[in-house]
Amino acid sequence: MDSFINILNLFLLLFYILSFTSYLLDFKNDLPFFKNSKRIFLFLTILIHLIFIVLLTNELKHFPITNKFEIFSLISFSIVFTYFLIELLTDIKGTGLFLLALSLILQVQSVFLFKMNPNVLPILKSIPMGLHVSTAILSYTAFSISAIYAILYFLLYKSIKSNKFGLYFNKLPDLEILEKLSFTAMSIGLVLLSIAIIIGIIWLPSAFPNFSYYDPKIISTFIVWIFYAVGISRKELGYLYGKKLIRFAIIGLFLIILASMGPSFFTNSFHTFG
Amino acid sequence: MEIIGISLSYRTCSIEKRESLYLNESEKEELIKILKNGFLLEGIVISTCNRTEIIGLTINDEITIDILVDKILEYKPVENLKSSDFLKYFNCTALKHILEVVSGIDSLIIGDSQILGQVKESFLLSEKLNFLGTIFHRIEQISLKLGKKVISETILGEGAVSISYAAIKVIEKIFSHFQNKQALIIGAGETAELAAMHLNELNLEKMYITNRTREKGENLANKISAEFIEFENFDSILQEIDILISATSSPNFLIDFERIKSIGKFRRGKPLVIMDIAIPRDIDPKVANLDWIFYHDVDSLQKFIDQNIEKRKAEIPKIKSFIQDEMVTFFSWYNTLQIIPTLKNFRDFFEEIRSDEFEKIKNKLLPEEIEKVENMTKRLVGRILHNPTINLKKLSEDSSNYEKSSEYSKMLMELYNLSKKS
Repeated sequence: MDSFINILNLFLLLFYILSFTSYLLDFKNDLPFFKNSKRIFLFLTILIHLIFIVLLTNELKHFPITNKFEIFSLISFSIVFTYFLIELLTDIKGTGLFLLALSLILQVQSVFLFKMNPNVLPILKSIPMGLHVSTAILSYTAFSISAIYAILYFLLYKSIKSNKFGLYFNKLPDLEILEKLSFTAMSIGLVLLSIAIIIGIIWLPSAFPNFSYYDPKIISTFIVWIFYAVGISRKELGYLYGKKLIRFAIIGLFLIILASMGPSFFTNSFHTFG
Repeated sequence: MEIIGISLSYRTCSIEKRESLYLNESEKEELIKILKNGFLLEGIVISTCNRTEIIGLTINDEITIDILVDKILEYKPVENLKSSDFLKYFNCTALKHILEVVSGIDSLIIGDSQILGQVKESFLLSEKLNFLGTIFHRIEQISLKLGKKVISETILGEGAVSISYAAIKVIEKIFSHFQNKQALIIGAGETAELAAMHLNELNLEKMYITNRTREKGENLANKISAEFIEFENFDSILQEIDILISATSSPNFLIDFERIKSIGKFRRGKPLVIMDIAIPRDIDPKVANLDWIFYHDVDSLQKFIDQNIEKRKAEIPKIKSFIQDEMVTFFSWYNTLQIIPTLKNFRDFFEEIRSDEFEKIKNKLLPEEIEKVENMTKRLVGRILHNPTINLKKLSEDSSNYEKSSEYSKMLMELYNLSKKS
């Protein structure tokens, strides 16, 4: 079964490459074949990935959140699934290529880091842990998507300001839409992160005897939460518009990278599972 | 009978001459009546601000293109307009020209969307005046079919090619929801009006018009259901609006950098799109340096237009291949029409001989033999005529064999004295 899952993971990578290539060719060359087929490739990629996650969960008997291979795969899936919903519900096209690029990078890493390890700590197999980690991962995914839309906003903004009416001008949706997508993703991220924090606060003290509110990961997560909460409130109150909001989303991306990687430097964190 | 055409367009003469030769509806009707009387069997007359054209089927071979030029100049004399100002077309080139006109690739602005409708109206007028026969009916069908095909299968009509429309297209790349947007248009001249009309189609929450001459400004405001504000007061709404279009003939800046910068603190980064489509400019271009300002002037919009024109030009080879296909189909049919009278005379000639000879022996036959013998003579003639008929038809269906088929046709007529018969 391990080798089958490994083969399926490689097969999945092939579909990610196929989807990415079709979105790339459609974006750059306007080829009619890819205009119609890219969504089919993306749908198949999502379907295979879903089957892969179900099989993996069934095989491991726990949420696939216990090592880098599983986490990268889950993030990659959540990005393409979110984008597929956006394209389907809003008919906003032209941004898929950039989100798929991120998913592809994560999926490549997932293939290289493939490791089937059913013998994980019992705590990692618990349902509250699964919910806590899943919502935290999904929230960071949403913040990343928000940052990607912010970068696209920035590219289009630069094109318009510098009178370059090229590929970005012709292919990307308008600035207001990109700003809205970035803000919506950011808001969803904040809601998910709040859920992850609430589950954590309720459940972690009883699950971990060495729990501490001064844990670097908890502090960095609170900083991320406060950062986004302040930004979203300012936007709602009408203080953040256009480029200011976009700058905020991009800074947020750097912050979550720091928040994810920073605690690894502290070996005494109860949040570190090897 | 040949298809001939003359065209006076932007390609060969000035706008003054084109305007002088422009024919209104009643003039077109009168001219068609003149042309029908001894010159053309059928045809069309097109007249727009950019071109005046006559294309038709001559009554006989004596009617030449120069006669057609003389007729139009006789009907509407224009000072300094010479025969050399007209482009002249004959048969293949005449049809090709109509198709190039209707597809929009012959227009001053490539891909002009109005020309298809104008050509359609010309065909309708010809039909009304019984100036459309078999051939021009067919030309009407293929022209309109081609026009529609160009719209649906190419991007010839896409992308803005006027400054005011280009400004709107850029605005649409900045905003998506216009129901909560407000705009101010400074000026009420032709350019401002055009921009206002385009902007009005976006269904904005509110539009303001301001102009130094109150009456002109109010007229434009009424036309598009906008609110007119006094020129001296427009400054007060600058911080409220999202879109500013300025198109006045003011020799100096109407709005300076400091004024725009001063409203920035109230807007908190909320974008303001400024389209300065005036020459000379109305707004200090330094405002483009502000983060929240999207500033475009005529030069920057012209870049956008140039790109769109290049994209349209790239479609021309595709459209020319559509035209080529239509021409091949048309001339296959048209050339067959030319040989039909010959074939009819040819077959009638043999039928006459058969019938004469049959009558001669009819009385010598037994009653039961009459039908058999008659059928036999018919079959005999049919078989004799089968190969020449089919081969001549085949030859004429290929438009490249036009000269050969007409030579064979003449040969048949002469060999069998068919012309005398007809």
